[in-house]
Amino acid sequence: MSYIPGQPVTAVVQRIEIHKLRQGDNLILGFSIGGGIDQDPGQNPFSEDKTDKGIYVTRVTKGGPAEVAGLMMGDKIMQVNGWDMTMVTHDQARKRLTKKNEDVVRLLVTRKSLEDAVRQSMMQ
Amino acid sequence: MAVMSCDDISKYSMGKSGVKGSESPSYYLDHESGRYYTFMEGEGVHLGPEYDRERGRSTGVRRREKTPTHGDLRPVSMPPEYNWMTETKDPSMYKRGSRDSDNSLLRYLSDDKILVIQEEPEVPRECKRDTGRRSRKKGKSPSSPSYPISPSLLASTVRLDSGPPEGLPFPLPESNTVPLYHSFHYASLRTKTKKRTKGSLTSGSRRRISCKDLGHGDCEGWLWKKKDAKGYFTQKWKKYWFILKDSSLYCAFKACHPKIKSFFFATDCLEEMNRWMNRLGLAAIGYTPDDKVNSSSPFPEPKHGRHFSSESTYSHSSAEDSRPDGGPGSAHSSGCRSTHRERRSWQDLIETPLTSSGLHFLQTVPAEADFGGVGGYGSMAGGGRLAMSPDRRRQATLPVQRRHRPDRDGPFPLVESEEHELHLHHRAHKQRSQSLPRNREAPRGPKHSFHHPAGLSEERSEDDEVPFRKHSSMGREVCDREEREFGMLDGLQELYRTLEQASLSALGEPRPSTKQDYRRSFIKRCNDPVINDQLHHVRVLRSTLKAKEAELALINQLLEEPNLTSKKFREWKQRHHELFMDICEFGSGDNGTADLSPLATPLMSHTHSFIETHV
Repeated sequence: MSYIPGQPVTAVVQRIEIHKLRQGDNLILGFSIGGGIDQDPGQNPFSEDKTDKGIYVTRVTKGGPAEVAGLMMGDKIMQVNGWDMTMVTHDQARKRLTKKNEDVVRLLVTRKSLEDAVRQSMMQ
Repeated sequence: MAVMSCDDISKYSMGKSGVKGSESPSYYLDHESGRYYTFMEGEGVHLGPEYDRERGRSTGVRRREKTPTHGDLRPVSMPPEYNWMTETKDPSMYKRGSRDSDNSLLRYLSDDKILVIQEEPEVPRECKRDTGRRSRKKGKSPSSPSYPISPSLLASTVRLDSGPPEGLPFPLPESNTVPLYHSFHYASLRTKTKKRTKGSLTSGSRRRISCKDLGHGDCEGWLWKKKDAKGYFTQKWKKYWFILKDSSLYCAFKACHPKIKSFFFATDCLEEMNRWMNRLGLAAIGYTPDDKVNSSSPFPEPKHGRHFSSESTYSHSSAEDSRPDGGPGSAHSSGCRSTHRERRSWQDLIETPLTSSGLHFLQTVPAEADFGGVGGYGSMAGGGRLAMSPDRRRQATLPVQRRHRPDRDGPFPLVESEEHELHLHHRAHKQRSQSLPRNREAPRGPKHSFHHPAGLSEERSEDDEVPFRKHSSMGREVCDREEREFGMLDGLQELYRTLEQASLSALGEPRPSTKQDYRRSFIKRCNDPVINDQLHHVRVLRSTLKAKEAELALINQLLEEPNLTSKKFREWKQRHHELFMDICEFGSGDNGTADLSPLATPLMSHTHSFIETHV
């Protein structure tokens, strides 16, 4: 998942559709995110490229909507409902995920295993 | 062209003014010319590039909004018409060069602007200057930083109409006969006037506030401002009308030398001098109502941009007594014209109960916490409180950035005593063992107090203190001994003199420092640039420390929260957004570097290195 700033990013992505769960007054998705352009990328334990300031999934609550939808820990979120998430601040990312009027969020996520799988399949 | 300027102005004003809907293109010219104008003066003043930073900060620092009141016409002598001095330049108009274009725009704009402030016979001199300015294309002296005449010297705000310049309201001063008083009233950075002047203000004018709009200033009057053309070594005093309002000093005057960063003022009479000194001092400290503390900030603190430091170096003997560390923006009030009068006025000022910042350093209380550590002493020891030695007082008299410490008098003495009691005791013991004769100490005292090398001030002060302390604690003993040895009269004299040196009363109690002491200290400080620098550094460090401690408290408030939830954290983050961003930057920036700058506080080490937000 290395990238060159300014260059288009290509990645093998998986579409994940999360249906938010209503918990009282909140709509929760059931995972945690980390990263952001305002954060320290070196602290991200999930990123391969330690300069990658993208949004990563750091935790997935067991049995939550995200896990059900197939989100996995360590995924890098590329898009949320069409909005880019590769160059956003941490708070912007949170906001895009927690819009109250949206019950469903469709993510494009990428992970290393996806790339490996694709590459493997291509090599065969 | 006018339209163009307006466009430019509006374009830039929106972006930069930051004032609510303000149409004041404070910085429109800046963009054009790369210069910043803080003052509008006769020829316009531009700041040098170093003001850019401050200007940027200004928006954040800007605190006070000036709301000029439309008061009645002040019964001030002001000519009915005046010219807006616009430092804006209209590049389209004149392509000659920055200076020229500035000037030409000035002229152009000035035509349009008419500030009908008052009616009054102006000083013929003004008119003449104006004429001269107009005729001379290069009227504006080489652009240089404007005067930080106002307490909040920064890119000043502008209040002006952004409409197209109107026709010529008044004729250009062709000759000296026309009593034109070109008064440029500009607001300081602090004062952002959103009102349009009644007259016609083109967008180019910056910081022009008509005298009328200012309403009644806190202090108004004529002041002689010293104009010293740089490089000429001539000193001319120009009489201008100054209005002090709300800790901003407005002046209506014509020409100015942008490069001059210090201002020298003089008044015609003693009362005026006193009045202005008090007022300016108060303005500089922002009305910090502290009896003993002086809070003028003579030295440039980046945070505060330029301050109108009204530390006046009361005339020693030279008219322009500018402190070496005056830095930009320090305003010196010196009555060059009448030194003797000034001295007297200074004396009077000192004696006035009003402690304006301008007088601070002379009236600094020993309990200046900032120098508590530096001075070393001044603390009490045991029963006999040891007042600061003159040396220490000298340090203490430095005007200090008072922003962070509004109240120092209280804590200082106690803290000091705790810290230094031990030292003193030690020293005292040591000294006692050496059984220094008093008459030896006495001559040492004055010598030490007045000839301190910069670096050893601390030690010296200790030395000074100790013998004095010895006196204080064993005053009577010494006295007796002295009597025996030297005869009563001499002994008492010696004792008294030494006590005076240590600022102790006859009984060894600390005596409030006299004005002379303060003055002396200040003079010493002025003459010793090294000490000045050190003291400044100390002051800077202290204020930084205080700021960092405040931040630390904030962070601790969050960390020590027993039930920290992400929501609470978010709230805290929002509330202290700036601090949070600083932390993030600090944490990420310093990841690779092992060394922290000495001023960087440890608290900036990122505690939340990788933030996770649960969604």
